[in-house]
Parts: sequence; structure tokens; C-alpha cells
Amino acid sequence: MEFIDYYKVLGVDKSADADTIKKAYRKLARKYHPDVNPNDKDAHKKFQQINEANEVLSDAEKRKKYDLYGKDWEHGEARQQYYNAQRQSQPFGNGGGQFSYSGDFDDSGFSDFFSSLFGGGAKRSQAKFRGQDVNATLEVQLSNAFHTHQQTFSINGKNIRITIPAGIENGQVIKLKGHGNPGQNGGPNGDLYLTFQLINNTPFKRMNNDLYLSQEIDLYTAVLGGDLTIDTPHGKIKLKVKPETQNNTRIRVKGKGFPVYKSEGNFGDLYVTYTVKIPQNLTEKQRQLFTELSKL
Amino acid sequence: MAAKRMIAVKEFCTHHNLETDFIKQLQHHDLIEMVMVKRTGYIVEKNLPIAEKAARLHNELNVNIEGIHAIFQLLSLVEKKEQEIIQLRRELEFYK
Repeated sequence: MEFIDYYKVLGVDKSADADTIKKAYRKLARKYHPDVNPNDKDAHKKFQQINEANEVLSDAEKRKKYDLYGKDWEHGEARQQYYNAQRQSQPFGNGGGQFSYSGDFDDSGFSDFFSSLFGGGAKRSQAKFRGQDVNATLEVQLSNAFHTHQQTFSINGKNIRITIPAGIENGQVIKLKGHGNPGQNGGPNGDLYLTFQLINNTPFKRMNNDLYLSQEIDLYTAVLGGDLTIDTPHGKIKLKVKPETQNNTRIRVKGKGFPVYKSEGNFGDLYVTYTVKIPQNLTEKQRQLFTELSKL
Repeated sequence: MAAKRMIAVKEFCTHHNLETDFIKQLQHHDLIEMVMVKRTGYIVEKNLPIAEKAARLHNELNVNIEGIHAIFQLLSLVEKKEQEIIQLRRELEFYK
């Protein structure tokens, strides 16, 4: 557990009066308030620190205690002295039990340092507070995103099973109401914002609802034309390659692309680009025939 | 049925320690929609997150209605830009 310099957090001098502290708090709170910094975890953490510093420095009694014991927290004697005093009086009492040393903030929005100094029960008031919103990322295979499917994941020690509609986009965010951090004093839970990260292990590239595939064809099929069968998420489909097809020719197969999100039965298109493969390791006969062709 | 999807302005303001005029001002700035039922003002449920956010900005940060309006506009702009970035990233990924 690290000592937190609340004066430094608010950017004020140790001799600052209540008005200066209030002004400094207001200024920083405006800058880092979660409502003006959505999805910014650093700003949320900073806001918690500012709130905690204000909670201590704006309260004469807490500030006195902090000034007395806070800076010497790491010195065993002062710490023990305070523990003993706390056991006797239990001014904010958390049962005098466990002290965590992670130095991080817990769900209540207070650091371990604060809880150790003022007790876990020393919350701002008994007012109801909504829990913090939580942001998380969920990896989904592109092949799975082709179908509406269910996926289970774990967050805050809880297993959540959700139905992911076909056609979900990479980077798309959905809100799961009430699955964020728990509220305080009976306040409602925060929400969970889930960002989908699509993992593509297929030969297809996706752009919005369309799929793109690069397909090799041999020289003879490109010149003379022919039939071709390719695997797609819709199953095998047959394509007719026109005679004299040029390298990098792109064809469109309507309705064989990715499903349109929340629009059942609607699909984007599939674009196939033909890459003509020039034959290698020619036999003497082939070389002879190509030479003849070139002289025609 | 419809009443279940609305919250009385008075109730909302009491809960958030606000003057009812605050909600009227939010409506005046087209930030929320307010409906009148038998002379009682109600906030439509879908506008509740906006009203709550505005209440927090007002109560916790002392931001006035004009400031709240500006914040909402800028946040909407930020969100739009973030969506653009996501779309551009997708396109970049495609051409990689």
C-alpha cells in the first residue's frame, strides 16, 4: 500500500484553506468527471483519486488525522500507534481487520490507503450511488459471427451468457444493463459495455456486410473458361469462369456475403477476385506448344 | 401503459434535489422530451439517462444549462469521431 499525497492529487499547498481546496477540487472534477470522459478508464481512476482527496481534505477532522498519521504511514511506530487508537475508539470502524496492500482502488471508489486510514465504512454518506460502468472486450471468431449464437464469458467472477446476433461488427459495442460494478448503499448496478473484437481465421476479408475472397485459377481455365467450386460460409458454390478472364478480375456473387446485423435473411455480397496462376516447371512439350502459340 | 414509461418531473427533481425549471430548460435546449399528462410534466423513459447525466453535471460540477448543452454537443461530436475511427480502422485492416 502506497502513501497517497492528497495535497499533490489536488495540486494544493499543505497550508491551503478550505476555499482553495474546494476550488481545486471543482476544477479537477470538471476535467476528469466520468460523464465528460466516457470510456476513459484513466480519467475515471483520476476522478476517484480527486474525490478521495477532497473527501479527506474538505473534512476538518479527517484532514487533521491525515496530517497527523498519513505522511508517516510507512513508519511502523506511527502506524501501530494509530492502529491501537483505532481499535479502542473505532471512529469509522471496519471491524479492525484486514488491510490490503495493493494500493489500488476497490469497487467503492476508495483506495486501500483511504480504507486503512479511515476504515472501510467511512463512505461519503448513506446516499445511494449507482455502480461504475464497466468496459470489456469479447473476442468472437468471424466464422461464429456469421450465425446468431450464444457465448459465455466471465466478468467480476460472474458468468454471463449472451446471445450474439449474426452480423456483429468488429468494434461494435453493446450495453448490458445492470452488469457493471455493484451500486453503493442499495444504488443500482452500473452497466457493462461490451466491445466485440472479431478474430478472422478465414480466407475471407470482410468490409461491412460484404465478403472478399482472392481465388487462384489456372491459366487454362482463365483462357478457355470453366467451372469452379469454392467454399463459402453459405456452403459450396459453383462459379462459371468466363473464357479470356484477366488476372485480378473481380466478380460479384449477390447475397452470399455476411449477414446484415439484426436483419434476418439479408446478406451482403461476396466478391471473388481471380488470381491467374502461371504454370511452372513446364515440360518440353508444353514449352514447345507455348512457343508455337507465341508465333501465331 | 404509457404512464409506466415516464417519470414525473416533480419526482425526478425531488430525487435529484433540483428545481423543476431545470427540466424545462433541458427541454428548451432540445436535450430531452417532456410530455404533459393532466397538467403534470413527465420525462419520457428514453430521456432518463440524459436527464440523469445533466443532473449529475449540474449538481456535482456546478455546470449551468448552457454548459451542459455544450458538453452534450461536444460529446456527441466525440462519439461521431470515434465511430469514424472505428470505420477507418476496419478499412485499414482490410487493405493490410
